[in-house]
Amino acid sequence: MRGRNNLLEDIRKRYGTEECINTFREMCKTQKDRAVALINDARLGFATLYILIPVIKEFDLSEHLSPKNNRAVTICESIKKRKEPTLADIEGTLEWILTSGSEDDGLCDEFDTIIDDAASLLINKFHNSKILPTVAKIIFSRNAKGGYIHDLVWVFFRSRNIEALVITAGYLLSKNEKNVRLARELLNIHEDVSGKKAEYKKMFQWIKENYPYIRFTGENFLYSSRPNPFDIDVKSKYLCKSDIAKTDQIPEFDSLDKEAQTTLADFSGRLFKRSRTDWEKFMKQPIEAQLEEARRYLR
Amino acid sequence: MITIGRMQADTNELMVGYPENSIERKIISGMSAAEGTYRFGSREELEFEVNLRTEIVNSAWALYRSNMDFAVFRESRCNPYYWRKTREGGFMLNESVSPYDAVIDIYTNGREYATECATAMIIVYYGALAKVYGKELFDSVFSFIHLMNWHYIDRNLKEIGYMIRPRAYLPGDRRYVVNPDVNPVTPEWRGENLIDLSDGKYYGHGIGVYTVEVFIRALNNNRREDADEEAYFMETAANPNYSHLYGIYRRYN
Repeated sequence: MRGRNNLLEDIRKRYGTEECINTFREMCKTQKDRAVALINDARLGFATLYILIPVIKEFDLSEHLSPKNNRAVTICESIKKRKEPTLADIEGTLEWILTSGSEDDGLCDEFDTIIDDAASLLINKFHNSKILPTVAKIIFSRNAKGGYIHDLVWVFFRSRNIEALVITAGYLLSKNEKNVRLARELLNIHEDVSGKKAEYKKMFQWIKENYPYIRFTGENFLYSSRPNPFDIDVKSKYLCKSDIAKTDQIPEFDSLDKEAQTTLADFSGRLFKRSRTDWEKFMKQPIEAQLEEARRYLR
Repeated sequence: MITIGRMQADTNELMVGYPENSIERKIISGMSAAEGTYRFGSREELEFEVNLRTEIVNSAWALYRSNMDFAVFRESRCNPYYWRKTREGGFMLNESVSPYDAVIDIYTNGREYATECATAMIIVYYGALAKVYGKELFDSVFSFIHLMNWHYIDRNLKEIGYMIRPRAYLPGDRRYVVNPDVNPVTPEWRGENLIDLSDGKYYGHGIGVYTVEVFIRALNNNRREDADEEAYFMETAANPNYSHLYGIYRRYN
C-alpha cells in the first residue's frame, strides 16, 4: 500500500460511510485482491472494518482476512449476540478496536456498544489498565455531546485502579463545564469556591495521601444517584497498612462512629508519614486519648 | 416505634380502618417493630407515607402488568406523542402535554415502551405520586420530567437515588441486588433494582415479581465465564422524602 493513508479510511472520512461501502463493493467485484489488501492494511481503523463487515460477508472474504481482522469480526458477532467472545488471544485485537474505534465513537448505537464492550472485556477480563486514558477520553467526549456514558463509567471504575481517579481529577481542569461537573460527580466532591486549579490540587493531594487505602465499591448510576465509586478503608489507614485482612478486629476502633474513625485514621496517616517513632507512641495510647489528640490536632 | 408529635403512637389504633393483611397494616406494624423511631408531625403525615408507600406497591404491580418491555438504554423506546427519546436513551417529557397523562400512558400503553430497570423504578414513583396527588397537583409539581436512571432525578424526588441502611425494611422500599462478576458484554445485568411488594415478593423490571432468590439466580446466570462471586442482596434501601412530599400535598389541599 503506497501513500500515508489507507484509501478506504480516506473515503470514509471524506465522503462518508455509504461512499466507502459502495467503493469497496465495486472493488470486490472487479479487483478482489486489491480490496483484500486494502482491508488488511495495518493503517485501516476499526470503524472502517466495522462498516464493511456486510460487504465482507457478501463476497465471502472472511477467509482472506488477516488474523486480527478475523478476530475483530468474530468479536463483533459475539457482542451482537450479547455473548462473551471465547476466542483466544483477543486482547490485542480488543485494544485495537477500542483505540482506533474511539476516534469514531458515535458512528451508530451498535458501534458504540462494541466500543463499550471492548473496554469492558479489556478491564474486566484482561485487567488491562493501559486503556484507561482512552476510556476516559470517550466518556468525557460523549458527556460533552450528551451521549450514553453510564456503562463506560461503570467499566472505568471496575478497573479498581488509582489511575482512574488521577485521570478523572485531570478533567476538573477541563474547559468544558459539563465535563468539570461530571468529574466532580464521579469524584464525589463539591465545587470549590477557590477555583478549578485549587480543586484539582486538593483532589490530587487527597489521592496522594490516601492511595494505599482507597477501595473501589462498584457503585454506579444504576444503583444510586450519588454513587461512591471509591472509598477510604479507614481501619487500614488507621493502622497504616494497605493490606489488612477483613477479619482483623480492633474492637475499640470498630465500635467508634464513622466521624471518629475518620478523624483517627486521618491523624494516624499523617503522623505515620511525619515520624514513625511518634506514631508508634501514639498507637500505644488508649483509644480515647488517641481520639482526643487527633481532634486537638485536626481542629 | 412510631411517634406523632412527641407522643408514642398506639399501633393498634393506627391500624383501625385498614383491612386485615393489607399493605397499610404491614407498613405500620413494620415501622412499629423497627429498632429506630419513625417520627411524624401529625397523624395525617403518617397516613400520607402509608398511602404513598401503598401506591408505590400498587404502581409496581400495575407496571409489571402493563407489559412494558425491557431494553438497554440504546434500544429503549417510548410513545413519541408524550415523550422524546434522548441520545442517552432516557425519555424527556414533550412540551404541551400533561405530565400526568404522559405518566399514565406508560401504564395503559406499556407495550409502546421499553427501558432498563432503573427507569422502571422512577416510573413507579411517578405513577404512585400521580395517584396520591391527582392530576392538577401532579402537573404543577412535575412540569418537567426526565426518565432515565438515578443520574437524573427531579429535586422533589432526589432521595430515591440515595441508598442507605434503613431503620426497617418496609413495603415500597427500593432495594438492589448486585452482580459483581457480571458478564462483561451484558452490563445491564450488573444489578437489579427492586420494589418491595411485601410478604417477601419484589418487582424487578425485565424479570418480574418473585422472591429475591429468583432475582439472585437470574443475575448469577449472567456472570462472566470465570466468575467466583455470586450476586447478592444489598442491605441498603432508598425511599422518597415522604415528609417533603407531604408538605407539598398539605400546602395544596
